Amino acid sequence: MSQSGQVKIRMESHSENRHVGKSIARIDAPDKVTGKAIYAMDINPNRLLHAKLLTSPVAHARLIGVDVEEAEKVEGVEVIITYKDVPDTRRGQFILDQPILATEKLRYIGEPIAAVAAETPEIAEEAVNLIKLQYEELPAVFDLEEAFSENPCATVHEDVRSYQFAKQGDPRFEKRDHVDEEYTDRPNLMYTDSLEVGEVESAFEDADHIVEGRYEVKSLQHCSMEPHVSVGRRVGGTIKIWTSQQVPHNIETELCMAYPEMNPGDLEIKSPYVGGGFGGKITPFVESILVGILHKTDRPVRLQLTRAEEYMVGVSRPQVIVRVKDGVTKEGKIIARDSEILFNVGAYNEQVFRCTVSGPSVTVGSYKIPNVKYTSCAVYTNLPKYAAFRGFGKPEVNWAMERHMDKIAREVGLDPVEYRLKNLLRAGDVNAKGETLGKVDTEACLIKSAERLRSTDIENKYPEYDTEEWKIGMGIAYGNKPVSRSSAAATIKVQRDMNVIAYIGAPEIGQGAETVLTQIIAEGFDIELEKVKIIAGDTANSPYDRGPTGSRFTYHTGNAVRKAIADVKQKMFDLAVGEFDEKIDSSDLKTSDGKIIIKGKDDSEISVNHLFSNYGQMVGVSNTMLKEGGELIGTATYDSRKGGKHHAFWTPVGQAALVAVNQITGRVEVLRMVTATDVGFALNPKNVEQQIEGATGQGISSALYEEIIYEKGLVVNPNFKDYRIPGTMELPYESETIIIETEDEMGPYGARGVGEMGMMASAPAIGNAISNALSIEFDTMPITPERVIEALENQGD
Amino acid sequence: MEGIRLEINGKKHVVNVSPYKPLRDVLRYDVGLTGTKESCDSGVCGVCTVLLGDKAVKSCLIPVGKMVGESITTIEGLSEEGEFSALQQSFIDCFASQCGYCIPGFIMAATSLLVENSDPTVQEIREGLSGNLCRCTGYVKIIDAVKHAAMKEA
Repeated sequence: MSQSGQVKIRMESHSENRHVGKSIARIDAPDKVTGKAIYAMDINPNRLLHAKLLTSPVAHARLIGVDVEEAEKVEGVEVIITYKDVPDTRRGQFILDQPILATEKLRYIGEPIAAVAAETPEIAEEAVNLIKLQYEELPAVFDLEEAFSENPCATVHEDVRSYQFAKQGDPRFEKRDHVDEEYTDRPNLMYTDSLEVGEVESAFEDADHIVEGRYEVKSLQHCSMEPHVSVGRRVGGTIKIWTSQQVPHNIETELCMAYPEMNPGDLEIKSPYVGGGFGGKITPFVESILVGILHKTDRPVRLQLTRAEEYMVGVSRPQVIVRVKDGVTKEGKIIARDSEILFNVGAYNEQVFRCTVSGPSVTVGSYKIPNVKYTSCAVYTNLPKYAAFRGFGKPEVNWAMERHMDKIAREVGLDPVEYRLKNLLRAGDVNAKGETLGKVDTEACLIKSAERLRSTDIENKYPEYDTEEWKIGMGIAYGNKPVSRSSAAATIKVQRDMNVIAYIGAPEIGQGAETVLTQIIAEGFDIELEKVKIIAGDTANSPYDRGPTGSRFTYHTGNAVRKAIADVKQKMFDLAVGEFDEKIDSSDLKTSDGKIIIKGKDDSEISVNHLFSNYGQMVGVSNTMLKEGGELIGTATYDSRKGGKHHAFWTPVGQAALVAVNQITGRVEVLRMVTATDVGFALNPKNVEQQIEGATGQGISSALYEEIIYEKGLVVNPNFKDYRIPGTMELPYESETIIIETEDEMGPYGARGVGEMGMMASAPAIGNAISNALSIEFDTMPITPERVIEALENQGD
Repeated sequence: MEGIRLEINGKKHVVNVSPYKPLRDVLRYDVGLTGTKESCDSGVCGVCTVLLGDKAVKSCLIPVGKMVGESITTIEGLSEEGEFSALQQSFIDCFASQCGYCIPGFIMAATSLLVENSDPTVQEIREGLSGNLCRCTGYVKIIDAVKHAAMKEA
């Protein structure tokens, strides 16, 4: 039984497919429902040492000394490391600013200073408490706008302008410096990204309406159910690490950056099943410390963050402040938009550089606006570090854009859907960045989600909210999520009986990667799903993959797999040609189950086993070795960066929310959500629904519940009691997905990425619904009961 | 040291640990049953849920010394004959698991719920599972799976 509300608008051309396009059960499900699935958390080798961190108790200080003498005397302590024991290097994504362990300065409460590995976690903890710190406190800056100013009360990184900037390989940053010239006198500014198209100032003069707004998104935590945990051991010259990470190849690259003596071959990074990532598990803030320990002991070591450390040592979604000014004609056409976006980096750059660059794309990507200007700024503060969270800054900026759209619709006197439709970018339109929107049905996403929600029979379905206390509201919002160009590779080996093994760089983090790749491979060879085995997320044997991030995996890795299938089939057919009696060309052949067949002549077939070596009657046919030696291996890379500087594709999404707001308690209940998204082609429709329902749940949660509270740089709610992630009672059961399929020109079988789409517009849809219910504008999220009550009280003024 | 005698999934075990050690850690690190997970360390998230008899409990909160004489069932104990329980099958069929880390806890809580109430409404399922957290699914398909299992058993 599945939810009755799920709707699919499907292209007919795929009806002949054997596996793709069908909701086959997830490959990983049997192991996950029986407790057999192994995560990094479950790796528990003999003689394991347990590591604990000493972290900074102050938000900003000059570090004078770290004395480990007393700690080393504790019985059961094996290794203690400080900055003196690791290379003096800096790592980061593009901007390299972060030491392995704190050196000359402490920059946030939670910054790792030392690590102890001991026989038990308790002994390690005891030793950590005996390490003596000497430091001289400095003024600290926590407020984002204060930090951004020209004379902030503190400078987090004095040397930021001289930090190394890794622009190799990404043409977008070849000609950039850290910040635009006009911003160089802002000492905490890490990076700016700006754009100006058309005549923005003069367009504002022509506008009939000029609407300005300031919007804010508070920071929130990824809260993956499996915390960050890494278990490593050194075997000879090789360090092997089992870790809860999304992008093993990035961990390898950054570790080599932090430890220049190490070569990629000295490292094996393995991500078994990962218990959630959402962008929080991309960079090696745990592994870089673990490697330092492993250099000092032959025993295996485990470094695991506690739940509280997740909030302080780990990464969270950044606070974002957006100022936007739109100029609109009286007919409702947007003719100019100017935005300034501030991203809180925290104390070091994990991924906020990337958010700063990619976040503003939603200011230009949804609507046709001829004159656009934006400046996106990454600003250091003395707060714990931030990173991407399901959308690389875009859902945060889209909160501002889509709340703003609703306000303007009201001012212009148009229905919010109609106002958006007047300005919507459609297939073939060119956005302000000069990108042409591919074959997508943007209008259907917006209209179908709105129509379906608006048809709700509220009176009969939700009679309990028909009281003075409750107010009902509806809201819609739109998003168009661009996916950056990147590369992925795949290696495919065919064995006896057409058993296929695929080596994939990206791990299964819960998104269904293994399942859709299995479908694509089984389809490609025309074999049963059971014949396919995926070996994933291990740098020791898998080719490069940028990982399951940014909704890129299915598109990029799916394409790499298809190319690798073509490659290995070509090799197979070249060998098979000689096995047939007739004179044929390799292009005449196809595979089906265990056979190689002449197309159109289904009785002319050979078993694939004919190609494999027969090394003695008693032993039988080799599983892998070919008659002429070697193995049947195909490998290929799909590199969308060759397609130019614009995005690989855009996935549009419309989301609509029905909410009830309690005017006495301030509580908001989401009664119903409808999401419509054009996924190109749903390789596995139920898997698409999973992604939409999950991301929508997180979007709802970001809109209503979650906020990290800091007091002078200290996280005061670093646990699930005080920082409430929603349960079954809070998230709506009625969360419906409308899958629209307008085949993508380049995606595998026409598929586009879908992982982040439910996150793009759900929060602003809820914000708009609450404003609709109460006739009060909420510009800051989350819209907690406290904020609702405060707004209701101020309404009377 | 006298070992602590436990009955887990119908089998007898003796563990030589402090009676104050949480049951979860004994299951995971002394008995080797890693299907019971760890996450919040404070009894909120429910990934460590196991059954005592038919009752679902959070094993991170329980000192193992209190478990003498109890019949403990973990996720591994639901499919010992190699067959999925009705709930496990429904979680597969209804696409209820994504990263899967919380799923053993949900299945244990739902097993207990269906013992108490063999035909729960959606609202009763939501209430019954409100002690377990999932970060991936938004819960829609987890609720569907429990409903589906109840219908199959009926």
